Amino acid sequence: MLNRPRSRSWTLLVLASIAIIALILHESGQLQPVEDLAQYVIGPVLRSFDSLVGGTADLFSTYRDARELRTENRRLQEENNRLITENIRLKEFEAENATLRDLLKFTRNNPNYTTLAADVIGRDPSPYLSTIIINVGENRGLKPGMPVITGGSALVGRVIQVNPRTAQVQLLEDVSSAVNAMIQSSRATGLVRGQPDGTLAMEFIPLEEKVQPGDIVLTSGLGGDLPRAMVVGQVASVTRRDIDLFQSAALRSAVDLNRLEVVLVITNFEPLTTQPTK
Amino acid sequence: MSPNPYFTIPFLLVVAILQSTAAPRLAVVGARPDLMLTSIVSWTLLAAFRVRELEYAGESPSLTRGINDGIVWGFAGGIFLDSLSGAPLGASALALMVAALVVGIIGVRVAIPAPLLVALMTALGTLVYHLAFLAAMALTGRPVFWGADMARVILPGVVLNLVLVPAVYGLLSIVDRRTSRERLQW
Repeated sequence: MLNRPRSRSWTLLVLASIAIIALILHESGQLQPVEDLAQYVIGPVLRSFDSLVGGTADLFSTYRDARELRTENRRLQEENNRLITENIRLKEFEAENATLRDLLKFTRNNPNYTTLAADVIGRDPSPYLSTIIINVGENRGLKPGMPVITGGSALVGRVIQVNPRTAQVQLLEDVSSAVNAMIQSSRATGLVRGQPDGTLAMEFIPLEEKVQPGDIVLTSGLGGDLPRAMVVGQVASVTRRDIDLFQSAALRSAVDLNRLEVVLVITNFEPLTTQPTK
Repeated sequence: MSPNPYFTIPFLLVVAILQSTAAPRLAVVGARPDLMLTSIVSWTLLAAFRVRELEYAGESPSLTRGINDGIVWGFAGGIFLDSLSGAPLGASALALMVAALVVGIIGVRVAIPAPLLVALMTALGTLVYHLAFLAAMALTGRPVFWGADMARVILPGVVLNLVLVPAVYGLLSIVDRRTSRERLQW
């Protein structure tokens, strides 16, 4: 037991000497083979340890990455949903913008008319009637008989009933609707009426008048219940029999009356007959 | 038997608004699903079934009670529809009341399985409603094209209503179960 400090000193001295000798040998390059051998043996072990430690670290990193990816994914999904919604909204705005531009064009080209834009908020619940409900009424000066148009001066119909905040518009395709019209090219006049199948037909066109598919039909202004030169539609086909007094034509409506969203009411037109056929 | 008016009135109003806004978008050819009609047919039949249950239980309920419910619903729903329509006020109300009356009378008296009766009464109710509505239109001077309307609106309408009625009947059955104060305890 008493010898232990001395033995420790010896050990220290020996180890220190070995270390110093190793240092000297290393510096002189004598130890290179031994070092190479050691590297040769230890290298693979080190690599194995390194990949093991690296793998473990990767595992933690992968877990962390997955968590981050999930968060990122959620964020991107939210962003995607937001962009989809915004895209839909922008498309709606674009469509509305196009409609309003059309309507604005009409008001610019026809400064004599005072118009009021209105949204279509409902349609007739009955399948036998073609009317729409618009979101302006007596409060904005609407009166029965006022013409209602849409983009490109296309006639939609006329106001038949006015409530304080809404109004009912009888569409051209309603079976009770009758509009004095003329063929743009030949100036032949007739009466455009709604048909039971929801189409339009121009009747009472004199037989001697030449009517062809593709002819544009406009309001004639006869009777004073509607302004002149509003677009009603286009001739699709002509029915003409020599035994009849008149010929008739099936019309393609100028606008899809089932897809109306915004319309213009001409508020300064005073119809001579304020009681439309009902 | 009738649910609270705080339910009935808003319900019929919502149905009328849907009939004016959603139904035209579901149109096939010229026909549209009749949300209001199917609601009234369903409710009339539910009331009729309740009357029959009371009969089986040995009570002697008033047969008119089952019919009255449908007629009241028909009147209120019809007035809502007419207020959104270019039709003369009362035309839909009258037509729906007539349809409810026919469906109610048959529903109380004819004992066949409920699903079959609902389907038959929906078809019959659709025919009666449309014909009564067209008659009201003709009487008020509007042009009516009976043949064309039958082919383009009424017959396709029967099919659409038959598709629609299970959902409406199912919904109103739940309402009926929750609101009925005369539930039988078997």
